[in-house]
Amino acid sequence: MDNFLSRVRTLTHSSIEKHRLAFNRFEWPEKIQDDMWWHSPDALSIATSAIENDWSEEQKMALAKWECINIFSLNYTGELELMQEVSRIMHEVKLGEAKEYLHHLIDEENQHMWYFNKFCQTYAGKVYPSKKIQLEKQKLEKPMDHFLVFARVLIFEEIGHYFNVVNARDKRVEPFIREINEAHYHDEARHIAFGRQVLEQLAEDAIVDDNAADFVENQLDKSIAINIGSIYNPQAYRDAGFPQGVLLREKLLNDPSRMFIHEKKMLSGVKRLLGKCGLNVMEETAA
Amino acid sequence: MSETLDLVEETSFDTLCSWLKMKAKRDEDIPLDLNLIENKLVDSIVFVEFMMMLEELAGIQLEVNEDLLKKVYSLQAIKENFFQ
Ligand SMILES: [Fe+2]
Ligand SMILES: [Fe+2]
Repeated sequence: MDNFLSRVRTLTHSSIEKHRLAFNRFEWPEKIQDDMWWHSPDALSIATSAIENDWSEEQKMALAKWECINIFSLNYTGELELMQEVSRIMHEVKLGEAKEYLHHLIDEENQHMWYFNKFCQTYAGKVYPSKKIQLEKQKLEKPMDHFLVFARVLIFEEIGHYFNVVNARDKRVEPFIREINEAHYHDEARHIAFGRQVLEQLAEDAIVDDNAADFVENQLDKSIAINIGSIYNPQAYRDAGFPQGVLLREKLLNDPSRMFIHEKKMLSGVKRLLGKCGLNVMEETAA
Repeated sequence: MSETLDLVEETSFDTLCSWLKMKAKRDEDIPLDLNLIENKLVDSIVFVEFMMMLEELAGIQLEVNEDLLKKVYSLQAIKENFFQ
């Protein structure tokens, strides 16, 4: 616990020192031109897939706009859910004085939500609504509930981080959009470091036996599938001019090269961390 | 005019029914009044895909929340709410 607390203390300092208030941070351009890359071509959902070469440069650029809006919408709706879930448990979760960091987490996510929503509304006139819902509701023991909340947060944040990194690095991406990705990247790097620490801390009380481990693995595999699936938004494909969005989505979700990116580029950190907690996720696809 | 429109909408609804039948690995047609969620024809993952298919076929955008569940719990409810 001591080691854990001192690491979180460092993150808390870092949040106080380094986080810049988002509300007056950016110069918001009036418009973002359609002939710019709104999203790195390398971050497109068709990138490296078998069908990538069927797409012209113009088609890719159109898709980049709507996938930027999709990823920013997912950030917005996912951060809203994160704030609701973390707020729900923050009073009870057994993290000692490390709970203090949760205030910074919520504070920063609130600001991210503000800019992602503003961006989507200002430059595209809409936010893509969330499709996530929990159909099977169970009453869980608190340690299990708390572990699952932070594990889902980590899955969401590590996938989002992949897009921040690729877009912030790529000089082809429109400068304002790069700046947003970069700002988000810096805050998220701290959140992910915190999330990894927290999960190791909470694992012991939550994963009490093999049954508990099976249950968590099953729940998290579903969360992974839903989060990965949300990158492939049929409405974004239709907005970019491809009417059969659902079909395209299914093709890409089953494309070996895309599956490789999900596992090795987006979720390798999650898999490693959960492994440390004695959990095996993404088993069937990992071969 | 209205006749052709009905025909188009009927076709999209049928497509949705056969898509679900395929996803739920059913040999027989899914009864229109069957509660899809209570009877576990869709889990959270298939539900997302199902809503995406509905959006594409009905030409709408949906926000998934508790209110929506009341409109999509059976094929009959979907037909009444989105294909008429
Ligand atoms: Fe965020
Ligand atoms: Fe975050």
